[in-house]
Amino acid sequence: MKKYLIIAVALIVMNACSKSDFKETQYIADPDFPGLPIYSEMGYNTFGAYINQNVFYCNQNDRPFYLVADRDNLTMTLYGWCNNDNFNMVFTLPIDTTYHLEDYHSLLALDGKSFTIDTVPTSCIVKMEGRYAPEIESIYSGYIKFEKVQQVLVDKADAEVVVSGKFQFRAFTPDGTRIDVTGGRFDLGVDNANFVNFRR
Amino acid sequence: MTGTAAMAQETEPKNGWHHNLYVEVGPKFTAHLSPNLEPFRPTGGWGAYINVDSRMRTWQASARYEIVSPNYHWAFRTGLQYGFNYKRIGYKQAEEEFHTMDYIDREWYYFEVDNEEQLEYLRVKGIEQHSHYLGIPIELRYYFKSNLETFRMYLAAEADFDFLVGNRNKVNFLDKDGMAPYADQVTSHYANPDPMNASTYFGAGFQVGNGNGIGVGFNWLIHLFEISGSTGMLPTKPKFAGSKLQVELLIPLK
Repeated sequence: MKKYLIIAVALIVMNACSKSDFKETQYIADPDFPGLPIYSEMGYNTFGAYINQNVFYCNQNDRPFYLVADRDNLTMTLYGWCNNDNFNMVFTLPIDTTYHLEDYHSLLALDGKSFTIDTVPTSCIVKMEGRYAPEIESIYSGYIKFEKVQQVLVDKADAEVVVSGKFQFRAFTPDGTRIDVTGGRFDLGVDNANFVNFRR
Repeated sequence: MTGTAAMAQETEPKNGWHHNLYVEVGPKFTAHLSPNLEPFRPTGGWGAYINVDSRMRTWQASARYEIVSPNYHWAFRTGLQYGFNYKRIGYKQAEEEFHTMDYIDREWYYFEVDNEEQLEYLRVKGIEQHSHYLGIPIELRYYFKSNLETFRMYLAAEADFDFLVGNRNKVNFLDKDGMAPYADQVTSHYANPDPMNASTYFGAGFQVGNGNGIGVGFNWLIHLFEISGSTGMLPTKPKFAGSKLQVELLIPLK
């Protein structure tokens, strides 16, 4: 608990000090997927997915996501909105030392990588948080793919890394209710303000 | 008997052609099509709109020779015309935004440039294109009879054949000095003007004279259609793309 409190404080302070000009969310509605932003690879700081018939989407204008690396995992938390309430989706990716995650530039190693979503530690584990968030007991099938991870330059200087990709999965709650997460997409601009590495 | 001097003597028999020289200057107001805004990163947040202003200004000056029929109704005019065409894509002025409640808190944009490996932006305040033309206007006029000695109205049909003699593309970077060498990365997204641009106009005007031949006139010509040629980074509408307003000084030759 103390660790997460430290993370939260650190990220808030770092974000407040961030001089990035790409902090705003650039939300462009996807006409083919009502309620969701378009799939983009530009660092528009958007994400979204359908959770059964409900829409999970980003509702803030200031980078509503964080990435935290620790010894074995990379955790990507999307702070969104679903069913008129706060709703977070947390992806915990098994990142071993071969990825050499030092700072946010190291995320470039994820370019094109795909992870199976499952409940075993060697796969990507998904958690949903929020007052009405369902508890996931088992995953039937799913994946998260980092379609494009690329460096962004502004005036020939390093600005951030854009992490964009897609996800979908089918899960079940302890009482056997099926949860279909479809059309998932994210397009996130990452720099020191929203990336923390506890591996070092 | 020439020019407005002829106005006073229309009752006399007309058996000679009239010859006049004109010096004309004036602005051309041109409606243009939307420029290529694809490289501009959206600035608007929710809705992600691209709030970019584009404008075109043209100034023309010409010296024209006119030959007028003996009855002083029909005239053919031609000469040499210089035109300066200024085009700009960039920041919309804050005061304009205030009126439209369309506020942006910065005066520059992220302009995406080609880079195969990375996503690359240059911070751009505006892109300008300065084009210089030398042209040949060909005009036909019909002068109406007037009961006033010093006043004459006319209808005019004109075709302008403008040849590009110079063009300069300019990029205003936020980092003016540091990014100057990379201007081509921005301007390569926009077309240069074609070597020749031809358009037709129709309009009306009037002249007032001092009774001794010398006079001044004003005319307003509406762009009818473009015969050929692109004006560059802000392409004009092919039909009814605006109008031009000209002030003319009439000097009778003989």
